[in-house]
Amino acid sequence: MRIAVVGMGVIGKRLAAAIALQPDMTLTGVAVRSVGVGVLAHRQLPFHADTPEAAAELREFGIEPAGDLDDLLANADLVIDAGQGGTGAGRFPRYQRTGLISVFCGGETDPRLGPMVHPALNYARAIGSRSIRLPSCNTTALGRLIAAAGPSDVGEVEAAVLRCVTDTDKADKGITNGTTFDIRASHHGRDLEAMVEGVRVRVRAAGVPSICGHVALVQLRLRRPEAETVAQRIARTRRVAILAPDQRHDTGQIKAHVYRTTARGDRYELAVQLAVDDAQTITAWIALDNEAITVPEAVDVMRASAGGTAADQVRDITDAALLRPSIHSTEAMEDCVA
Amino acid sequence: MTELYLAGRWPLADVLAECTRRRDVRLATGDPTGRPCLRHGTDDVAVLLPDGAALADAVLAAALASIGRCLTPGPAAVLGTVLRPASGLCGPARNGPVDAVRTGYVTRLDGQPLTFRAACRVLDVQHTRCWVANLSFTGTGRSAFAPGGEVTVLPPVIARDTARTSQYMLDCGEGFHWRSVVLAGPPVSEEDGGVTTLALFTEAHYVHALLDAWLRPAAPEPAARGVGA
Repeated sequence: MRIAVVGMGVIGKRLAAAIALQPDMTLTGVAVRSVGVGVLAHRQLPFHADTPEAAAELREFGIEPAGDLDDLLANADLVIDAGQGGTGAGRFPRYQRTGLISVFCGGETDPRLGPMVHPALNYARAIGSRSIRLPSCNTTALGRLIAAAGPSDVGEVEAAVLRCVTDTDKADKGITNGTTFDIRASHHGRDLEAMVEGVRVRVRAAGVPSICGHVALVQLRLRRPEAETVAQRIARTRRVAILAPDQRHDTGQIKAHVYRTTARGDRYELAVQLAVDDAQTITAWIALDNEAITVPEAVDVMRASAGGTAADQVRDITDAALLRPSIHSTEAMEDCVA
Repeated sequence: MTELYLAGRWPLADVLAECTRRRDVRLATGDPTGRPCLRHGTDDVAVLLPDGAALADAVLAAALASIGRCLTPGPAAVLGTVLRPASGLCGPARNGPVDAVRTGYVTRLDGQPLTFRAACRVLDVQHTRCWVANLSFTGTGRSAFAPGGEVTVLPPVIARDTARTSQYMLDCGEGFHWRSVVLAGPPVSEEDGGVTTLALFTEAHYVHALLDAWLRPAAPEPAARGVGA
């Protein structure tokens, strides 16, 4: 499958790297509107200029564009759009004209861009759809936890998300020394309810100055008194690393652990600290790498959209290429204590 | 495979582990109490590693020496203001309270690895990515700057802030503790012949210099004094 990537920001550059690792995918090129860190650090990639200004800027930095966006789309089977949030709808008509399957990252809100798909929750919606939206990082993480628990066993989910809001490209989302908060429900609950029927999800969010990933306190209320069984199931689920329940943890330690073991410090696994409160209630702290956690599910969805592959098989291929369980597995993260 | 053995509690143990992993050198660690020292896996003789203020001086001196080697003729002295980061991503903020700059101290450096005198005001800041140093080199004539060795000049689009710079280094596979001394744009030549520059670096620059010296084919002489201090 030939893949075109649009955008070389936080998500785009990670997608480009992930696609290059997949045995059944080829990175056709990356379309950009400007030259940033991701472009300059990966100058060898075939960059396509989305605008004449972008072409001039690429040349200014000694990078000859491989073509424009139309050239890129003409040589691809699927386009994954990792452009700035909320801008995908403007490019959608161009994708439609080419007949390509389009996948939009980052929780685009416009329903005309297709159904929102989390492959562990509503895999079937990816089959046959010509355009698909992927959930945001927190929705991906919460969805992973609900899927791990077993959606049919979960009745209600309440979560408080602590977003780190002062990272490289998010400095304008938060404040330097303080927490922003809002009692109104965030989009995560609505997005999850659209993907998993019969589960009530309420999420509220706050923003804290940090660069070490998002954290959420999640309470799962189960339909039946089998919390111990569900907790064990969560611990056995792929892409989940269980943190010791009897320790204090911090996201700095987790980030440092990942920096010690990977070149860019990307963590695809969801770190989870579990507590069984009573027979029908599980509480979990989850810690996610907001810049990387959506990548495995994005690769799943791209592969699923081609059709003909079962969900588990799709995830097996992704994980074999992308995840190194020996590094960020439950056992390996035992040193992530405060 | 070369094997090194680290004993004692050294603040840069994590950085040393990352640097040795990148060089395919096996690092064993032992008793975490006592003064930090390093030895070859099979050697009996250990070399003391700098700690405390001597370690901060060693990190700074390694970066200054690398920049100084890019100037021709070499500088006679450097004056600087240095922002020293809080103690990494983890642990308590040893370098001062949150949302504050500790006014620090002036350090004067002379002798190896420097071939010139240095006087720098070191401020501790609540920041975890890298050291930042505003440096003014002075000499006996007009100096020319040519990047080389472990000193690189980044374009302003990347060097605009330390977040972008560290992200760029991560994207390039250099890790969180990157090796090079990075200059935020070309150095500025002053009318008096001096050169002013803004340098960004991590402790890995010093640790790699330490390993360069330590892993030379000819074994270093056993030393009673600290390394790089």
